[in-house]
Amino acid sequence: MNYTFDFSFLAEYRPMLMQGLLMTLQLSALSTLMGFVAGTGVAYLRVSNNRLFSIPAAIYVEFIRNTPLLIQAYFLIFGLASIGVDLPIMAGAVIALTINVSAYTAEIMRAGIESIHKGQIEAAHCLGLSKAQVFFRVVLAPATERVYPSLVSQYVLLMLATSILSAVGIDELFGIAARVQSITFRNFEVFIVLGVLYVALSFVVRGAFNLLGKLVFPRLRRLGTPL
Amino acid sequence: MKKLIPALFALAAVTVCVPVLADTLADIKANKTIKVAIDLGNPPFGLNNQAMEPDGFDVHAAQMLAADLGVRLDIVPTTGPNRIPFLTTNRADIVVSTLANTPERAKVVDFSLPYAAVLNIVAAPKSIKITGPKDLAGMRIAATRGTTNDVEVTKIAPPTAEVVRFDDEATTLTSVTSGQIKVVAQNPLMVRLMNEKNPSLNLEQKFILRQIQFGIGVRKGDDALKSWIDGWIKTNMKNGKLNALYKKDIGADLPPEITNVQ
Amino acid sequence: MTSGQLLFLLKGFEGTLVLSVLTFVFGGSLGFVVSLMKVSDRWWVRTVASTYISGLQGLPLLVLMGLAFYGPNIWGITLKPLVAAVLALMFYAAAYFAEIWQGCIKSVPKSQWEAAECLGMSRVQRMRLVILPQAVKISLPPTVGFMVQIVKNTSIASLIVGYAELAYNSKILNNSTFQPFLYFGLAALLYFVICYPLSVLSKKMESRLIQR
Repeated sequence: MNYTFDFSFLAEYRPMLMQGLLMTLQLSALSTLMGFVAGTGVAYLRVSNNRLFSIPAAIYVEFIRNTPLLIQAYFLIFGLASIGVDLPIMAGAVIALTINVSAYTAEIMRAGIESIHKGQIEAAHCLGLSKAQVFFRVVLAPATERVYPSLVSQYVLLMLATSILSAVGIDELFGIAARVQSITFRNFEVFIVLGVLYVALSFVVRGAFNLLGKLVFPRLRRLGTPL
Repeated sequence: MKKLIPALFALAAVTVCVPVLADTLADIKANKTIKVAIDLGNPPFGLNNQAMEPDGFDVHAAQMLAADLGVRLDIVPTTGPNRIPFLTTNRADIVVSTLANTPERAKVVDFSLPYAAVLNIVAAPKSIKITGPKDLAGMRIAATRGTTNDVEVTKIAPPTAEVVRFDDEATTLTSVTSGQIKVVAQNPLMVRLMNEKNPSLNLEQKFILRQIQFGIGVRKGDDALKSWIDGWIKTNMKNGKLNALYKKDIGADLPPEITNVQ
Repeated sequence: MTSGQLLFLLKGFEGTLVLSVLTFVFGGSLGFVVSLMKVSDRWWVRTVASTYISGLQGLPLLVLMGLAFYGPNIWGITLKPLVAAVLALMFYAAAYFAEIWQGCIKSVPKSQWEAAECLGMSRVQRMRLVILPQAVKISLPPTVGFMVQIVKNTSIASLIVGYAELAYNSKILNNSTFQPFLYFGLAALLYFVICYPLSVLSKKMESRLIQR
């Protein structure tokens, strides 16, 4: 092996890489939150008895889930640019990620919502709970609790997928690393560092979500399993 | 059998650890092919024409070089940031792709004599007043990652300015023609192209970052190849062929300091 | 859009198909091995498999592409874009396939294991003749579902590695014509044409399984 590894760039470029890491977390957090809200909304439309709602929702979900994020990002960002829409790149990236993850969230939440026994809803109506109370406390909360592991996996994948957004000009961790590569020409070493950083990030993010789950879902905390 | 496996390992270790002395010129002649890394998203130096064929000044120069060397040309498409990594990882034999000779790059690759030159400038719409780097405060500036435009504008940009970097020239161009980013660090030819794509932009040159000269990039220590290329450049500068190509593709003459090569 | 440009787009589509099939073959093979390791009796074999799966699932595919593209050069080997892309996708897919399949193997009822043992079968015979055939049936829906992920993830081979598949070619077409809605729209449609039928198939298989 004639290659001499050179990790010296770490000393000089650590602040830059940390900035990129922060951007990755920001992008992930924003899109996760907005994606969850949007996805739940789409799921609600999807399970509606009104075909006017359920069919467009289904088309939306199927189209997003069966096309790659990269093409969606290109379509959105280059497309909007070509018709002269002046959107800041960060906004464009968050929108692309949100749209993407909302479709997956919708599918997961749909499974969760459909798993709530009809009897629960009927009982709640009998007890005089309002429609909103029924939706949030009897359907949404238990459904979210049930599918929480799937949601967490999805959002960790989202964090990893933010690297794709470097292709449209976002300076998140991968984009910053590309800059470091073009200055130092230590491509392989940078990729090794990236690998370590992302694996560490995924552990941290997953751990944070698990902690959040224990806080929000007391049943999970006490019993160890959802209802 | 017990002895065979360690012996195979030893053989493998020797084979991969023997230092490979760079004599790319000999390899090129033996394979009758030269692999040239060119960014085909960099009009008018490298582009794909309507028939999706490689075109542009760098492509034509590479074609002439291959023909004079008597070998087949194999274009390896790259992006701005990939030009040097492709060379150092043996994916290309030479780089003919607006590769400016800078001290940082000279640490990693060797350059031939200059074969072309261009200005790096900062451009913005007529309506925005910019006379020097100080006026860039608080502005967003588009640049292509890993190019001298990027490096130069990053050096002089005030702390409140934000350099937005894109992976390739086309993406940078899109960000400007869409009006997303008003200020750009580019060469005048690209700026002209941007104005063509969107006449309402009214981009004009604000100030010069640097005059850069392009060399053909070769791997470090590849001296036989470098001297052949230097000779080829001298010959074709003296007989005016390279200047004629430049004039046809770029629309101007090469500066005298390049054509009067000794 | 000229016929040359349409052809260029379709060439990219062909590249996507080639990459997807190769990934399934190689990634599936490696994934099968790792899934068997994950359900092994020996704790250290299981640990190696778990570490591999957890590690790979924490890496973005882009980083894998970079490692596969530039890594081999430290031993003086320069990989072609297709080879590097398949290498990266293979390790990526294997981790997810292994996770899916080990779950399916484990979900075969314990009684099947015990009955096979009673019949005097060796561990290998038990696996081959009793457990795996049942596990395969259970694994079809999620496996076909993951094929959709593979096809979409081939688009990552357009970055770093620069393999001429659909995303790469559509980007080049946009670079020269500046018609993003046309070319990225067509690319999206072509991806949809492969992925949607696979998704539907996966759902159908799942409902058939539940019915049984």
